[in-house]
Amino acid sequence: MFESVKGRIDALKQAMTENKPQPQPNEHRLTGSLPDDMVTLRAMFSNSSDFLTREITIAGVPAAFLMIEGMVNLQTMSEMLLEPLLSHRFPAHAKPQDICDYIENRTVLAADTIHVYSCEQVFRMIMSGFVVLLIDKIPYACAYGMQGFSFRSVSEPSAEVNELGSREGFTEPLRINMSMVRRRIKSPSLKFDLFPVGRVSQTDICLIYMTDRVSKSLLRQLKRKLSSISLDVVLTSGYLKPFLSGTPWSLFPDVSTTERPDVLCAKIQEGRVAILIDGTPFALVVPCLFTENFQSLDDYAHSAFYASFVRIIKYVSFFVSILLPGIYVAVSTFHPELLPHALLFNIAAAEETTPFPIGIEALIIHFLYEIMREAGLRLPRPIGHAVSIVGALVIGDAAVTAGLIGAPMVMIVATTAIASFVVPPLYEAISVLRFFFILVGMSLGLYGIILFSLVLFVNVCAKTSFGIPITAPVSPFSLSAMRDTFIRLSFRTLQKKTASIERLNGVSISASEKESTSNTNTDPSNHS
Amino acid sequence: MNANARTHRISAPQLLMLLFLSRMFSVLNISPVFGTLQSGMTLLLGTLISFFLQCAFLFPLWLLSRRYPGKTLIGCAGDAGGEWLKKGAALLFLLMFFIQICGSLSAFSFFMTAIVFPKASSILLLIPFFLVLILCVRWGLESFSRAAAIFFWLFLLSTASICLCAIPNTDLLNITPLPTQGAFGGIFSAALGEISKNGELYCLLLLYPSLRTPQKAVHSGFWFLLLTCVFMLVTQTVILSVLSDFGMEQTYPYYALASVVDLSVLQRLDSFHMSLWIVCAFFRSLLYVFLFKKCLGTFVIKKKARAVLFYSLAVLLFFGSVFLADHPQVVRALNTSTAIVPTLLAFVFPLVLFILLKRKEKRNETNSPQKTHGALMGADR
Amino acid sequence: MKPIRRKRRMVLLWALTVSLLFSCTGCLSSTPLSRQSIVQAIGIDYENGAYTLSFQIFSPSESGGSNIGASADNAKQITSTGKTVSEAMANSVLVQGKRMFTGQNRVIVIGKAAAEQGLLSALGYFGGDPSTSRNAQVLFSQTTASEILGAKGNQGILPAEMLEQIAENAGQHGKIPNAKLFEVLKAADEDDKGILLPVIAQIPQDSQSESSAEQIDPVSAVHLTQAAAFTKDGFFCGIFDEEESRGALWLLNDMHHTKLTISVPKQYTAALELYEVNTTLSPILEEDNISFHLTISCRASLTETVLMDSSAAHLTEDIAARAQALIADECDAAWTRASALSTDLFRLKDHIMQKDTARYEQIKSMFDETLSDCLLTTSVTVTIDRYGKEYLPFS
Repeated sequence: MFESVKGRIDALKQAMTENKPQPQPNEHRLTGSLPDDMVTLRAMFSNSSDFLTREITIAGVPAAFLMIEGMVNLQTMSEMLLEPLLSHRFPAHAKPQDICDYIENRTVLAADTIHVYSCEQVFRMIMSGFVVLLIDKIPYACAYGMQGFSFRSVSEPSAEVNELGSREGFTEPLRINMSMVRRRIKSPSLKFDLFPVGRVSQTDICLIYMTDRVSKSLLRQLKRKLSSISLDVVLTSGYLKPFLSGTPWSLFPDVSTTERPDVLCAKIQEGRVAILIDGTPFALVVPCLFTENFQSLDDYAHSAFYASFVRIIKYVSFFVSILLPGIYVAVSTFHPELLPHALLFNIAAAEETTPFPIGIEALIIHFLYEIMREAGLRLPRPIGHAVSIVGALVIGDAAVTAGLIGAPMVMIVATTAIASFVVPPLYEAISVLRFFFILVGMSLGLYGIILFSLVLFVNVCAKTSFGIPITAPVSPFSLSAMRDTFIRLSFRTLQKKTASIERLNGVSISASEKESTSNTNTDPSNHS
Repeated sequence: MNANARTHRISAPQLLMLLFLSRMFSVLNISPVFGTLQSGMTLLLGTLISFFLQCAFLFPLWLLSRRYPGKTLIGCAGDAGGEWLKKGAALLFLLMFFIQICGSLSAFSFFMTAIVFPKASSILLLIPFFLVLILCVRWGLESFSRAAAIFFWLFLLSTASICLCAIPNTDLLNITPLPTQGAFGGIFSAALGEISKNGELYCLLLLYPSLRTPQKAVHSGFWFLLLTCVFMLVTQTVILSVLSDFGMEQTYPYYALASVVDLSVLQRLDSFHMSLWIVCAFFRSLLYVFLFKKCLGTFVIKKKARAVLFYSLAVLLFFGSVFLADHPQVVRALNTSTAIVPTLLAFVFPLVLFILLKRKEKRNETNSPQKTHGALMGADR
Repeated sequence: MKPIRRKRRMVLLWALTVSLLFSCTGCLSSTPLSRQSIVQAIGIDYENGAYTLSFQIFSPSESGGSNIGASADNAKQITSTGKTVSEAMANSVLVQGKRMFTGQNRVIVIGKAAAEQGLLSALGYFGGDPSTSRNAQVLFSQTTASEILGAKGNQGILPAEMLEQIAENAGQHGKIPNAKLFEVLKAADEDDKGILLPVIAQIPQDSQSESSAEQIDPVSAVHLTQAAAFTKDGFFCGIFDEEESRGALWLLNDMHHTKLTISVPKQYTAALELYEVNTTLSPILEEDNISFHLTISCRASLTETVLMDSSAAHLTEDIAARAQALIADECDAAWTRASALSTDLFRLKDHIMQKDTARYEQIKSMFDETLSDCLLTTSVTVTIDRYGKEYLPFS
C-alpha cells in the first residue's frame, strides 16, 4: 500500500516538474557549479545593492540563498526554510542530491518548490519576490514563494462602484489577483497562462480563460498579438490596449477593462479571455461588445425590473450626453419651428442678450466644463472644492447674469455632464463626440447631425473585436443574448441558455474552424 | 466555400432591412403617379397588384440562388456567354447604377433645398453627403447592413408614431372610390409605376451570394416585397384619409402628412420625416455606390487601379447629381425612359441566363462529368 | 499598417476635415434667433388693390419676458403692404429689419375684403411656404384682420395664443367649426365643396361703462359664435349665425361634445351635456331626386335643472324630446342656409361619391345649383343616462 501511495506521489511530482518552465535556447543554463553560477548571477544583477545573497553550508555542501531585499518575508524564510535546513541532522557525507531530496520531500515547502534551470529564470523568480536556493552540484535552482513586499490591500474598487455587489477589487500583485479569480470559479477548466511582456520590465501577465468555453482561434490571435509586443516597459493595462485593439484610433473601445474579480469571472465564463497584468489592478477582457459598456454587476444584484429600468436609463443617458448639445444648437439655429412655443420664447429671450451665436456659446461652455473637470481631477482634494465653487458661481451664475451665455445653455451643459457620468466606460468617446456634434449641428443643422450619426453608426458596425462585431447582439441579432442587453430578464429565464461570445458572430467560430483546417490566416480583422 | 469569407457574409434579415430602407427612399419621396392619380382607391389597389406582380420577379432569383449560390448575376453571365456577356452585363448595371445614384442624389438635394434649407446651394448639401458615402462604402457591405438593421427599427417606430398621431385627423370619407371608367387601366399603371421604381429587385440578384445562406435570398426578397407593400398600404391609407387626393398630389405626400400632425410638445413631425428620408437616401445611395464599385471589379481586377477608377467616376457621379438636381425635367425623362429596365434586368435577363446556363451544363454533361465553375465577380468587397 | 494605406487614409481624413470646415463657413445661411421675428399671428387685409399683412410678433425685450399672456406686453403688431401676399411678406423685412419666422404661427385671420378676393389668393403663399405651420387656425373677420390682431389685452394686445385657445375651445364645445390651414387649402384645391371658417369679432364695449367696477374683462374682448361660408371657388358668400353654425357641426360630424340649454318658460330650465355623439349622414339616391338622412344619437348627462313649476312629471323624457327637437332645428337651419347659398358645405358630394360613383359623376357639375331641391330628414335620439353627480329620480 505504501508503495502505491509513494508511486502516486512520485507521479504527481513528475507532473509538477514537467509543467515547470523550461529554459529557452538563448538562456544561460545553470551549470551546477555554485561559484560560477553566482558570478553569472551577480553580473546579471550588476551588483545591485538590493540583491542579497546568503551563502551557507548544509552538511558540508555549499549552498546559497538569493533574494531581493524588501521583497521577501524574512520571518517566513527563517521559519520555513533556514531553520529546518540548519537544524536537521544530515548524514556526515551527505550529497547535494540528498539535501535536495530532503527539501523537496520532507519539508513544508515540498509542495511549493519550483525548479528553475537558467540564470534568466532565476532572475525573473527573484524579481518576483521568490527566494532562490542554489546548491552546489545541482544543475537547477529551487525557488520558493515567500513574497513579503508591501502592497495595497484588497479594497473597494474606485472606478467601478457598486451598490450590492462585492467590495473586493483587484490589487497590484498578480498572484493575489489570480487567487481572487480562482476562489470564485472552482472549475477544473479554468486555466491561467503566465508569461512576461516588456523587454526591460519583464512584467508578468496572466491569460485567464475557461478551456471548455473559449474559442481556440481567439486564443491563438490573442497570443500572437501579445507576443508581437516589443515595448520596453509595460506598467499599466493601457500599454497593451492598442496592441489588442483592431483599430487604434477608434473612439469606442473593443477591449474592456475591469477592476472587479466578479465581473472578470462573469466575462470569462462567457468564453472571453482576461488578461491580468502585474502591477496594475485593471484587468483587460477581450472580446468586448459595445453593449457591455452599459452593464454593471449591480444589474445582477437588483431585481430584474429595476435592472432593466436602469439599463434603459443608461442607454438614454448615453444618447442624451452626445446628442443633446448638438441637437439643441441645430434646432435653435436652423429649425426653431420644432421647439414648443414656450421653450422657443425662453430661448429667444435668453439669446436676445448674449453676444455669441448659440453654436459658439455651446463650444465655449463645453470647453470650459472640460477644463474644470480636468482641473478637478488633478488638484489635491483640499483645493478641489475651490473648482466646484468657481464652476458653480462663475459659469452657473455670473456668466448668465452678465449676459455672456444663456440660461438654457447652462441647463443643457449640466444635463449633458450628468448624463455622461452614467456610462463611465464611454466617457472619453462622449467627450469627443459631443464637440463634433456641436460643430456639425451649427454648420449643417439636423441634416449634419443625422449624417454624422449615420457615419458613426456604420463605423461602429464595421468594428470587430477579435472577429466578433461589437454591435452584437443587436446586429447581428441574437435573440438569446438580447435577454441581457437592453433589459435583463429574470435569472430563471437566463439560466435556460448559457450566454456565449462565440455565438454572436452570426456564424459559429468553432464551426468555421472545423471547415478551415488548412487556413492559417484566421484573423478576420484583416480586411483584404 | 472559404470559411473565412463565410464569416463576412450578411444574414437574410439584414439584407431584407437594407433593401427595405433603400426602397423607402422612393416611397416616402414622391407619389407613384405624377399628378395623374385617378382616385385614392386606384392607388391602393395598384400597390396591392404591384406586390403580386413583383413576386413573379423572384422566380429567376429562386432559380439562380438555388442552382448557383456562389455567383452573382454577372458571374452567371460570364459563365453563360463568356467574357463579352459578362462585361456587357456589368456595363449595363454600371450605367443603371450611375443613373440611379445621380437620380437619387438629385432628388435628395431637391427635397433638401425645397423644404429644409430653401436658401442653400445643392452643391453644399451634396458635398458632405457624398464624402460620407465614399467613406462608408469602404467599410464594406457587412457594416452598413448591420447599421441598416438598427435603423430599420427606428424607422418603423418613427413612421408608426407619425401614423398614430395622424389617426385623429383621419376620415374614411376622404378616400375617393374607383372611377367608373378606366379604373383597371389606372390600377395597372399605378402597379407598373411601382415596379419601375423598384431597383432593389435587381440589386437582389447581385447581392444574394453575399448571404450566409444564398438559398434564403428568395425568402428575403419575398418578405421585402411584403413588408414594402404593407408599409405602403398603411401609409397611403393614412395619407389619403387625412389629406384625400390633395395629399397625393403633393410633391412629398408623406411630408405633407407629417407637417399636419402633431404630438404633444412636438409641434411638427415633419422633422421626423426629414430624418427618415435622409436615412433612407443614405442607405439607398450607399447600396448603389457599393454595387457600382463591385461592377467596376469586372473590368479592373487590380485593387489600386480599381480604386483610382472608382474615385474618378465618383467625381463624375457627384457632378451628375448636381446637374440633375438643377434639371428635374431631365430626371423625369430618365425615369420614364428607364421604367422598363427593372423588368428587363430583374426578370428577363436572369431568366435567359438561367436557360443558357442549363443548356451549357447539359452540353457539358454529355462531354465530361466535370462541373463548370464560374469566376466570382471581381473582389469580394 | 502599411505606409501607403496609412497615407491614403490620412489624405481621406484631411479631405473630410477640410470639407467639414468648409461647410462651417456659414454657407447654409442660418439666421440667429436674435435676428428673427417670431410671428404668432398673421392678419390678411385687402385695400386699395393691395394686400396688407399684419403680424403679431413676439418681442422678448419688452415687459413680460418670455411669458405669453394677456398681462404681458411682449406681443407687438407690425404691418406691411404689397400687391401680393408674397410681396407683402418680403416687404415686412424692410419695415422692421428682422426676418419673419412663421414656423410658430398659430393664427391666420382673413379680413372680409381679402376673403372676397378668394381664399387661395390670400392663403396660397402660406400653403407653399415650407416653414409656415399647416396647423395654424384660420379665422374670418367681418371687419379687418388688423383690428382683431390689435385687440387690447390687459397691458398690451391680445396674444395669438389666446386667440387660438378661444377658437379651439369654441370648436371643442360645439359652438363653431374649426378650420386649420391645411384643411382650407385642401378644400380650395378640391374645387367641388365649400368650407366654413369661424368668425372672430370684437365684443363691442359699452362706452358708458367706464368705471373700473363695470370694466369688461379684456380677456373676453373677442368671441367666436358665427361661421363664414365660402364657395367651392374660395369666395366669401355668407354668414352662418350661432344656430346655423351648430347645425353645420352636426352635419359635418364635427360635434363631439357640447352643452344644450333647454328652457321652457314658467316650467323649467335644464342644462344637458352631450358627451357621446354619433352622427351619420346618408344620401338617399332616387331616380329623380337626391335627399339626405341625418341620424344623430347622443348620450347626455343632465347637469342642471331649475324647476319653476312644482310638477316635474316625466321631466327627463320631456327634456330629451325638446333636446331632440332643438338639434333637429339647428340642422334644418344650417341646411336651409347652405341651400340658400347654393354651396355644398357639408361634403354631400363625397357622400354621394362613396355610395354611387356613377351618380356622382352625373351630378357633380350641377349639384350646388340644385342643392335647394335636396331634402334633409333628421332622426335624433338623445338618451339621458347620467345626472351629474347625483341621482335625481324624476318620475
